[in-house]
Amino acid sequence: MKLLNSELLWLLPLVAVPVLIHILIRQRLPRVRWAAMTFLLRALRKNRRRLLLETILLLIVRTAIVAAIIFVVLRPVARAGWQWLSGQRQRTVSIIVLDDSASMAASDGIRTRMDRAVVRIEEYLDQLPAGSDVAVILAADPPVDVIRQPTRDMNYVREILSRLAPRDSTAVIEQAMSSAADRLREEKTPNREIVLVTDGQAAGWQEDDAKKREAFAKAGEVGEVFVLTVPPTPAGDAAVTDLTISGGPDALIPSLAATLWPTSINVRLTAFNTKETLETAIDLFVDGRKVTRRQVSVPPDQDLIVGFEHRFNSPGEHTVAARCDSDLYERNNQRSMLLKVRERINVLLVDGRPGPDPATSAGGFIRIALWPTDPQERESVPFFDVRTLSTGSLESVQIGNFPLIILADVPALPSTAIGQIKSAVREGSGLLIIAGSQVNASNLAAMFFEGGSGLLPVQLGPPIDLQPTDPPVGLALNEPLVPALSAFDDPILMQALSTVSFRTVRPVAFAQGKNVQTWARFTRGGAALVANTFGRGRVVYFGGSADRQGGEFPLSPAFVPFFQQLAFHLTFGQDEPQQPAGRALEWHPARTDGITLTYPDGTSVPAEAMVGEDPTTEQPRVLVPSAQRGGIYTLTYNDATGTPRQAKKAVNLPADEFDPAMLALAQLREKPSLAKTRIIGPDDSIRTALLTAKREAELSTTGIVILLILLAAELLLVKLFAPRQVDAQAMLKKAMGL
Amino acid sequence: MAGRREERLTDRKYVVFDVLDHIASLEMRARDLVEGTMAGLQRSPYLGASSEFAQHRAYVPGDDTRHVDWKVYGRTERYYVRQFQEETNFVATFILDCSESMRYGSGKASKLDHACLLTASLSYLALRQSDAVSVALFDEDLIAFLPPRTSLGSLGVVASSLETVRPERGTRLETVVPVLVEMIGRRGIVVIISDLLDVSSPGGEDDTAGILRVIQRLRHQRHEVVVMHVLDPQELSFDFGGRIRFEGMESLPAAVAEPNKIRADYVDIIQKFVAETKMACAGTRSDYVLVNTAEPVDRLLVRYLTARGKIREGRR
Repeated sequence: MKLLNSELLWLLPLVAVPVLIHILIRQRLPRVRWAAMTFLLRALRKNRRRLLLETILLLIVRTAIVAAIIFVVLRPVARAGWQWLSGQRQRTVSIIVLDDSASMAASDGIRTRMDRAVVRIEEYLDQLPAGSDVAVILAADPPVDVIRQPTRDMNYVREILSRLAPRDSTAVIEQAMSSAADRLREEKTPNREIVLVTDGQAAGWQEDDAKKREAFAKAGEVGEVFVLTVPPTPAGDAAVTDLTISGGPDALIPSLAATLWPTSINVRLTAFNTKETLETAIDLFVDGRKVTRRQVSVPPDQDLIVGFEHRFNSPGEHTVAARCDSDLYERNNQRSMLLKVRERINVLLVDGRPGPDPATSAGGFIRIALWPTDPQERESVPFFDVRTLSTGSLESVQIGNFPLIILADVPALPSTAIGQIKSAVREGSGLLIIAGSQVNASNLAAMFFEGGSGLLPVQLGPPIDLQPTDPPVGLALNEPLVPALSAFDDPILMQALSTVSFRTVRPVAFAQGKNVQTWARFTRGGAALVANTFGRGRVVYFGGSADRQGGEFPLSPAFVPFFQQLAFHLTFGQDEPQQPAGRALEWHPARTDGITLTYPDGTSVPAEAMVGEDPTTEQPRVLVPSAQRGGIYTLTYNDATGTPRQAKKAVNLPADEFDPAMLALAQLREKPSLAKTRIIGPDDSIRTALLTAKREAELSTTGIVILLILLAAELLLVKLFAPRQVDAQAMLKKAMGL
Repeated sequence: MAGRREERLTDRKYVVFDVLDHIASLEMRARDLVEGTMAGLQRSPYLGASSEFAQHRAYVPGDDTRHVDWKVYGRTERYYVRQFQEETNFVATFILDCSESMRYGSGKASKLDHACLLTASLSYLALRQSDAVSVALFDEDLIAFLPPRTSLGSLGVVASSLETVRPERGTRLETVVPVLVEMIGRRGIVVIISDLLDVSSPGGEDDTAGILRVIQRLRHQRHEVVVMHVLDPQELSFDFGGRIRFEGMESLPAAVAEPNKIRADYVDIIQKFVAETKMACAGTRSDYVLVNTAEPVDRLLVRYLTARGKIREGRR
């Protein structure tokens, strides 16, 4: 037998109270000096046995009454077999954990798995004893309380269930089970149940990791755990499992969409669980408009990459979507992505030592590196349109209009320019700072440190200016290579870079910012290449020199790919074409007044309530904690000048939800995490399963009945032992013969 | 007279003038014939030349012819002689129980106080009648004995001796009475004022055996015996509540009891004791008076002496 209120066990010694009172009363009696003691003793002797019996019986009954009260207060629970003692049906508190992941949208042609799940839940509700309470949690990340407080209103529960629809994200079963266990632990009732309703999708259940086992074990400690499965749906399915664009005109350039050339769009189609070639068609949509359709044949259980080419005529954000023909599992039939199509990247190169000869100016070689002109290989119009200015000419331009700003050996900038650079980077522009002979720790910190919250929160170490006879300083990239320098996977390029020698070096000694990363180091002196993020933009500092004064780097074969890759990283690196459903979405608008968010289904809501502070940058941020639907999310906001702008995010089905195939019941039963649960298959009777469950019954009612009986016994004994009433006067008269 | 009396007895605790005034009109007469030397209220067993005619008797040769009642002869032509009763005084001896058990009292006054008041009041009555009063105080032994006195002024002596009583010891009336019998001397009225508790020896003897022996001893000496059985109302009714530790007097043990639970049996026992004592007295032609200390002394004496007077009248 267990006790629901075991924390009150300290009450047990109170059972001794009637005995203690009996003893204490005898200690503190009033005293009377009595003359007729002989007669009193005689009367006592005559009644000794009766009095003893009375005392013992009453003491027993009163002790039993106290024990019965404590018994009731402790709320004992009887196991199965002793339930008849409870005199009542076993009220249950149940928490239903519902797997509403994307795979639950798979259909059998008539009903989806979610529909079937709701039917099974309703069958379960019908089997619950009267007075039972039910709560519902969705197994999302984080778990979602659909009905937080357990309720007895089953009609309300049914109504809520009928309005549920699967999300596009994956289920996180273990979190929901843990949450359910924590809630259920607070319920003071003998019968507690957690009912997990799931389709047992193979991708989600294949891996039975420690977290799952721990979560189910925790749930099992609190109550009975049932797993309700739904009937399987046809497994064969075609899915669009990837949507990407290919690289640009140069192998060094990452996937890049531009108006200057057609963009290659690749759609990966996968046939899941098919035995025959799947015939289907793929439609390509750009900005919501279908641009082409292609019939394809997908071999059974294989992938097929289908390529499309599309020429974007205007720069800016464009949405691209690919959709295959409808089937029984719609959710994996479409993918979207967001493309930033560039026309040309305007680059502002601020030369700290301007001059007509690129060999002597600080930025001359950089300008050449950004787009080596070769009429045979590329179009004549350079992709990077570099405008070179000195520090004194910056008032003539709007710095915010440049997606890439490069500072080459710039020791100081006007404060207005610094402010404009800061705003531009926050809005998404990139900043490349290249050291030189004029740059030192103090002037760099004065421009960009800002107490550790500036564009480049680093401290430079002692400058190194070497003479020709001094041993040179080399450069080594950190392992593993960051994606921004992926070209240096090529051993020839890596070798070329490793042989470069620098004479003018401004290494980084100390980095304060949380997002600062070191990508390369000098062979002596400190960090050579440091990256940071600021708002939506990125900053890279290179401590070596990009001119002949600082060394031989401009002559190295590694020079062009090095700076081109950095330029692309700074310009396009923060592009996020798509992300999986279930993750958070963030925007960092310049202003947060009058913002609205449009969901994939077209619903628009004011988004002020979603505004908070980014913990890393301490700047305003719009946050959707978990995007549950696939499609395009659009934030409409005003920029710093008040011009309305839009920022989009593409959300897609996560890879775990591509394949709707379910594990067989037998396979589920083999999972260690489910070893101590009762798995109820789609064809199993819920009623039978619940009947055989270990249901317990609270014995409080029995305790109360026993208490009442004892109280009646006490009253009966008191009445039975009531003294005979005597009229002493009448007796005296009779004795006197009067 | 009354003024002089008050002047001498004012400070006496047991001389309560209200009570004395109330009983002043009463008489305490001997039920049986007693010997006496003074002219008092009591009857003499000797039928001689006295002013009071007693009865006729048939003449037998040898009777004094002066006592032949010739009027009766004239009527009946038979010879009858007249017999006369000689009135004389008596000695009232009050044997007062001063044992520890007499200290008990549920009200303001103890049984002993009540008994002393009773003794003083009856002494007054007897002295007023020119009868002699003698007082014996006892517990385990004879504490004090006042020889018979006849003057009314002796009441102060009686009263002051009562005030010296210290009830601290047990009771042994059976031991004391034989001594008293020698000291009392001539026939008189002996009034035993006691609660009669523990008079019998312990160990299961009949509660009344002891007092019966005492009475019989006194009756054997031709004394008239009055037993005034002094009991407290609580001793009679045992009307206590709750649970109490009763501590025995006269070396008896203590006991814890719930009076409610044993009251019926206790009352049975005490009533039986009273009834048996009364029966024992009746069997020896002694008077038995149950003195409930809740009843005022004067009322008790009025009731008793009036009834006693009526009985005496009935016997004549």
